[in-house]
Formats: sequence, C-alpha cells, structure tokens
Amino acid sequence: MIKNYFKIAWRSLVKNKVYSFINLSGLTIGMTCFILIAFYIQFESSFDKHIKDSDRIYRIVQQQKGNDYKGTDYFALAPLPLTTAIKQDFPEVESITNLDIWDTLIVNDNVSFSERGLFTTMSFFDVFNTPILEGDGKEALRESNTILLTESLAKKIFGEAPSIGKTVIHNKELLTVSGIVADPPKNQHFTYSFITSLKKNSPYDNDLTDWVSNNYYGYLKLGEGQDYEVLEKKISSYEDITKPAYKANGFQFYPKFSLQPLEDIHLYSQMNMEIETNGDIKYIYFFALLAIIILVLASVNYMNLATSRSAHRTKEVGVFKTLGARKQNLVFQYLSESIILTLFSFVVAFLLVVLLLPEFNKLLGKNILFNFFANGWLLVGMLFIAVLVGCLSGLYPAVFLSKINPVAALKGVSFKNHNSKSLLRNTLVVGQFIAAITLITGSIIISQQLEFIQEKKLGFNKEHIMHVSYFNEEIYNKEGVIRDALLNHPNINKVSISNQLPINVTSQGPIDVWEDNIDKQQLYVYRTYVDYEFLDLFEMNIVEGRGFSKEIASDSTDAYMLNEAALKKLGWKTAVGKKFDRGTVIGVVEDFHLQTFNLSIEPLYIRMRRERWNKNNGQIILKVKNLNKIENTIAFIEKTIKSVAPLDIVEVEFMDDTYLKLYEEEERLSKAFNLFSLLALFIAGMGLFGLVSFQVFQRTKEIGVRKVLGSTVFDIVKLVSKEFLKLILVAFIVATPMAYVLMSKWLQDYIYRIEIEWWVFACAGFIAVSIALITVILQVFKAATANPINALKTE
Amino acid sequence: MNTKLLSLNEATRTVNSGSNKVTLLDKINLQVNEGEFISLMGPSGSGKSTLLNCIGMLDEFTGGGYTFLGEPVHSMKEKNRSKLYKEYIGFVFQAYHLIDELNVWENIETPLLYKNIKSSERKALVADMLDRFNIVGKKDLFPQQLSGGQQQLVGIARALIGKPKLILADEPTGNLNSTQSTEIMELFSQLNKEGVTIIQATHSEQNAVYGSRIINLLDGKIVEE
Repeated sequence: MIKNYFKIAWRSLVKNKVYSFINLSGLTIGMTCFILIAFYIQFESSFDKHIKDSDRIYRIVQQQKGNDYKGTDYFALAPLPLTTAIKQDFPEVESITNLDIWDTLIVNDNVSFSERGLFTTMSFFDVFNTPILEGDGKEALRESNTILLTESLAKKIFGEAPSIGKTVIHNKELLTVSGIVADPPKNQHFTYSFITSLKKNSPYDNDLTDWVSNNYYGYLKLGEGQDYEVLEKKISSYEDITKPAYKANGFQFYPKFSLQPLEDIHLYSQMNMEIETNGDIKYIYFFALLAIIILVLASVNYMNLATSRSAHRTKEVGVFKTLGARKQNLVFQYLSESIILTLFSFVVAFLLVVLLLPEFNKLLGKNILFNFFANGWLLVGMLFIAVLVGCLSGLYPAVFLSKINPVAALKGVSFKNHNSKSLLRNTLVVGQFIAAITLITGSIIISQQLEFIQEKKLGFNKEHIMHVSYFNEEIYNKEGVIRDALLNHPNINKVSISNQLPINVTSQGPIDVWEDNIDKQQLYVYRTYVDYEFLDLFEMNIVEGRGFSKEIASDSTDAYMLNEAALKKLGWKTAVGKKFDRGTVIGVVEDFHLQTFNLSIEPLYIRMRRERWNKNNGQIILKVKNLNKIENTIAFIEKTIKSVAPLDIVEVEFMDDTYLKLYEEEERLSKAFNLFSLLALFIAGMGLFGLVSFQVFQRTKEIGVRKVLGSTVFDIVKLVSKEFLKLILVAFIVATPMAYVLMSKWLQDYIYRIEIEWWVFACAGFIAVSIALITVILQVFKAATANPINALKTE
Repeated sequence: MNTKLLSLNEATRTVNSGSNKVTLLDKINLQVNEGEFISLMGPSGSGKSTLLNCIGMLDEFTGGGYTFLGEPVHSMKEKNRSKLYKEYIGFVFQAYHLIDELNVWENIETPLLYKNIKSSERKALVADMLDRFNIVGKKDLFPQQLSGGQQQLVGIARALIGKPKLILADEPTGNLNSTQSTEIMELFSQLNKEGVTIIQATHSEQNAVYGSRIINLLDGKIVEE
C-alpha cells in the first residue's frame, strides 16, 4: 500500500516535470539558503566558546569619557599595573594575563615569513588553556629568548623535521623554539602563529608601573561561582590612582575600567584597538531575519503551488473514491507525496550546502567548516522543518481533496466558493512581493552608497598609485637610495616614503599648546608623518601657505601643516606663522577623507617624519604613469626593494584595492543583498506562477467562452494580468515606506552618504511588475491561444 | 434466482440551485433482484446518472428509503456504507477514469489495496483478471498507450476485481466506436450470465436491448418499464 503511494507520487512528479522542477527548486533554494545562513550564524556565535571555562573569562576594557577616537570612547586596552594590582587585591580572580598581538617578520635561514605574533606572559596558559602539542608551554615564557610556534607555522618553516631546539630570528634576536602549540581555531577573536614573551616589547619595563600607558590587552579568569559585576564595582576603586595620574599627565579625562565577557567580544564589541575586526550582532540579526524570510517564502510558496496543483487532481480523487478509497487513505496518499518531495528537497539542499560552502565562505570572508557532528542539531532541525513543511503543504490538499464529493470530483467541478482561500493565497503573494521589493530597494541603495564611496572626491588622487608596506629599519635608513633606484624606471613618476596612507589615519593625541590658547583647552588631533613628495604625489590642495620644502631646514624639525577641519576647531581664520604644539604652522591643506565614510573629517596635522622614532614600518608609495604592462613595473619594484632589504617581504598593492578593503563589510553586505534579493524575486515569481496557473485552470472555461465570443489573446492577457498587478501594487505600497525607513537607518551609519531618491523605488517596483507580468503572460498566453473548443469540452 | 439485491422506496434526490430547489429524482420505487441486467434510458438530464450514483453510494438520496442486501443504506454511517460499497459494488465510467500514473496491472490492483488484501493474493487475482480479458501483454502499459476500447476493458476488469455483486455502468460505450461498443456489451452480457447484476445507463437503443429489463426515466421519474 505504502509502496503504491510512493509509486503514484513519483510518477506524478515525473509527469509534471515543469511543475515539479519549479516547486522543488524553490524549496531547495530556500532550504539551502537557510542552512548556509544558519551555519554562518552558528559560526559567528561560536566565537571563543571552545576555550575552557570561556564563561569565566573576561577582558578588562576602559572608557575614557571625552576621549573620542574614531567614533567611540571605549578602548579594549588595560594598563599593566592594573592587572598586577587586581591579581594582588582580589583572590576571586584565578588568573590574569596581558598580551599584545602584531604582525612581524620571522626569519629562518635567510627566508622571511610575515607572521602574527602573540606576545604575552606565562599566565596566558592559565587563562586560556591553549593546548600544547610538544615541548614546553607556560615554562617557555619564563625566558624571553624562547618562542612557541603553532603547528602550522612549524610545518611552514621546518617542514616535517622536528623543530624543537631550532632557532629563528625575530627582530634581530635569536629565539629558540621550545614548544609547539595548536593553531588557534578560526572562531577565536584573536589569532596568532607564534607565541613569545611580552617582555620583548621595548616599553614593557616602563609600562609595568605606568598607569597612563595603555599598550596591552588584559584578560582574567574568575573563580567558579564569582559574579563579574561585583568585581567590576571593586575595580572602580582604582580610579583613585588613575584620576591623579591622568591629570598629572595633562589629560582632561580618566579611564573607567570594566569587564567584558569573553564570549561577548566577537559579536558585541566595537571598541577602539580591537585586536581584530569583530563581527557584529546587527548582521547576525539581519541574516537571521533574511534566512527566516527566505525559508518562509519558499515554504509558503511550496504550499501554495502544491495546493493549487491539487485543483488539477480532483478527478483522480474521484476515481480513488469510487474504487473504495477512504478519507484516511487519501489523506495519507497526499501527505506522503508531499513529505517525499520535501525530504527530497532537503537531501538536495544538503548536498548543495556541502558544495557551496567554499563559495559562501568567500562571499562572507569567513572560514566556516562543515562538520556533521557540530552542525548535527541544525540538520536534524532542518529535517524536522522539511517534514513539517511537507505535512502542512500536504495537509490542506489532502484534507480538502479527501472531503470532496466523488461525483462532483469526477465531473471536475470543485474549488468554487473558496474566496477565503484565495484571500489567503493573495495575501501570501503580496507578502512575498513585499519582501522582494524591499530587498531590491535595499540592493540598489547599498550599491549606490558603495559607488558613492568609490566615486566621491576624497580630497586627493588615488589613481595610478601603488604602495608597499615595510617592516624594516633598513628601508628607513636607505630611503634616498631606494627612491632614486625606483625613479629610474620610466613608468614610475613619483615616490614617497611616509608613515601611512592618507585613507586610514590612526594615530591621534591631545594638543594643548597653540597661539591664543589661554585657558589651556585640549584638542584631539590626528597626525600623520610624511616626506617632501607626499602632498605632491597625492595631489592634495594647499589652500594657504606652502608645503614642506627641502630648501628650508627647519621644515624637517618644527614645521606643521593643518587641515581645514583643524582650523575650524581652533577657531582660526588663517594659520600660517602661528605657533602650534612644538612648532609653527607653514600651510593648510584642503580637507581630505582621512578615514572611512562612517567618520567625519577630523582635525589633522602633518609633519615631516624625519624626526620620528618609528623607523620600523611605513609605506613606500609610488605613482605610475600608466597601468599598461604593470606586471613589469611591479617586478621592478619588488627587485629594487629586495636589493636594499633582502629580508623584507615585498608585496606591491594597488591603492584602489587597499581603499576598497576598508569597505569589505559593505562590499559583502552588498553581494549578499544582491544574491538574496535575486532569490527572493525568483521565489516570489514562482509563487505567482502557482497562483496564476491555478487561476488560469479555474478560468479555462471562461477563457474559452470569451474567445468564442470574439475576445483577442491580448484582451484575455489583460483581463488576468490586471488582478495580479493589483496585488503587486499593494505590495509596492507597503514595501516602499518600509524599505525607506530601513535603508535610511542603514545610511545613518555614514557621515557621508547618498540621498535616497524616488526613482530607486520606481525601479524596484518596475522590476517586480516586470517579473510578475512575464510570469502571468507566459501562463495566460498558453491558455489564451489554446483552441477554445478544448476548453469548453471539460465535461 | 429471485433474491432481492436492492430496493428503492420513494427515493428522492433534490439539490439547491440558488434559492430554487431542484428535484433530480422524484419518488423512485424500484426493486432489483440478483442476476438482473437493467438498462436505464432517458434523455439528458432525466436523472440516469444521478440514480446510478445514488445506488452506487457515491451520492445520497435526500429522501425515501434505500435498502441494499437487506441493510438500510439511508440510515447508515459513512464507515459502514463504505464497507458495503467496497464489498459489493463496482463502477464503470464513460470516460474510463483510469489513473494516469498507474499502469494496467496497477490500475486493476488498486481496489484490492483498499480492501487490505495480501500481496500474494492480489497478484493471483490480477493475473487471473488479465488472463480472462486477454490483456496480459498490456499489463505494463499506461492508460495513454491504450485505445479507448482497451481502456474500457481495463476499467471493467478493475470494477470486477473485487468480485462485486453489482456493476454500475454509466454510458460505458459513450466514447467508443460501434465495433468496440459491441465487444463491451457482449462482455457485459457474458458477465451477467455468470451471475453479476448489472445496471447500465445508456442512450443507445442497441445497447439497451442487452438488458433483461429497460427502465425509462424522464424528469427524475420512472415513466415506463
């Protein structure tokens, strides 16, 4: 008996290939999206939870009220003496550690590796419990001339040969490998490929007693059953120390320390100086909503199509009934058919997920692994949803069909007086189109903002500019030699060796010395250090005074240039010749975007970098004449720099790319948005397809009669289309204000943003209407061109 | 051979069409004995199909009494009626109404599934039926691959597989040409000789004469017997 159900179900599927394909593909796409997004959400919310006792680990962070830096006054850092004091004063703290992380070069046998180092203390292993695979763990950090490699770095440097006891060079220092640790998993909020002592950081000894220096991250593990909020209150007592210390250093603010649960860092923390860019709970909500919408759309659609399909099957029901089928036989038959379909969809979706996961990772810039056991609950849940969708979509036709009178069924009359049902169906289609129109609008606006970011005048020219980051004093020392050598190439026009690119200025500090600053106000000013060619190379406009000049010796020591924003904050009309900080202002540069569009243009000063202590890293910036055969130029640049600094890793990057990298999140969001709107449109189109095919089926006779009475194909298409266009119109009216509000909210994150224009909505509406019309016309055309005699011969 | 199979006592069927009450069958009195072959005749709309459907329990009389094998159908619960129906009645349609998704074998087998007959027994019964109707070679074909006459043959085989006492045939040859019609009618009279009671609705005088009794209907009433 059950075999028979399956047989009929299967053959019915094969027979109606188009319908089955459309219906199954919609559900499969929906489930695939849902599973992929669920994987993503699971990955994002799994951060740091693999760490033993992760629920008892906290990061010490601080708020410096009034010290706004890049849009927030929270800092993820803690001063060293604070951790020492906490350890001494509060026995409920089990262990506490400091660490810092930065990219640096590891050299072995004259081969350099650009690696991310974790610089920390012995207690790191007490807090984080990182697995040690070989050799020493904690003990290795007792000395500062040892290093622990991660498994993968050991393999990278030494291959399969044992690495314990070997040496590598870091920062001109010989370090002995004394242990191998496991690679930190991808879902940890900081990664590293080697661990060595924090003491190597030159200001470490000073920092040990300096409450004002914030150079490290602090983490602590609380004893079992301790409340971190209680400890947080106790920690506030250290303000008695920090307040006077900050005041003594001339700051007009002081830090308030707090504890941040480790498990919250990845999704909830957007402080200054985060170790790595964290995720954002906002995106998790957004994607969760999207996943649910898509799954609901697809499921509803499936049900809609399946029920409309059942209209074609009343005759079959009549026959089964006359053959002695009872109600439960029929219910079971249609239910099993529907469940088989959804299970089939689920299996295909599952395979698609496995197949698409690498692409999906690329899209989101993540590293989600498919692990059957870790994702098991999700798959079981999904399976449950599949069966549920199968049941729900099978139940209505099953119950409805099994109830109809066999005599009526055999005549093919039924499905009349079902206005309530068609209202439900119409509501579903309207809902789908609301989602689709909102998503299209979102897509367009996000793309527009991204284009705006790329096209807007930044205040400097980033075209034809390449740059090489360096981490080596050698370059600094031989600056002149490198510049001359590079300029020898006919395609290289200008070369500047400076501190940083003008697109992401990070360094900032308080200034309280300037002319007329009688009441000792403090002003926070960003700063960047350049050479003589910098302003010229970027074609920045000087609106007052002059740029740095080789002819004037004092320029390299006490000349300052300010931007217009700084002038405004200072309340100055002119600046040239005025005292500022430890020198004199020689010129004013036109405002340029020194950070992303989320942040407004803040006060900035520019100085010559000669006198700066930071010699270890910077940028070699090159302006080329044209981009033809650029590979040759790149090869030349690499060769030239290597010849001066053989141990440096030279990576030539285009400034355009580097600039876009600042907007990676937006780029991803945009791609995801486009993809999902496309899918939503597709699914909505299918929902309409089902509805239209149902309607056309119902109206076969009417269409036949109308044709006999002389109506044209166009008349009939118009007749049927009109009703569906009304639905789209309703969807449009609801979706437009919704999309407007949502997208305005999104745009608010940008100080510099586009205006939402009316044509965006018109465009989204037009796309929705086009899709709807095409769907309707395809179906109606078939019915309208059919021979009316066939339509009338339904008896 | 005079056992009473069914009897109708003032059996009436009305439907509501808008605010009008339309009487499809008006106080029908009819007795059918086992082994009879009845032809129902009458113009379109005279109530032939309705009468067949009501006797076949696909539809219900709205008034009067209906007794089948001594059991009062009019006061029966759906479940019991369905049982009675499955056991004793087979239907043959003008449009054959075979299941398109099932092949010949499976179409014939379907009624047995609803009677919960074991697989081995089903196989034997279907094989017998195919043999008897000489369609063994067509058992794997689907309805669309058969001619109308062949489809109707399968339809009859399917109606017979449950060994019913009564076969109800609504214009069984309506879609067939004259040669095919004759074959089908010959088959009916053969079955009737074997003891199956048959009630057919037909327009054709030629087919009607196969019956042992002809009943004429007009406007829902028996006008002549």
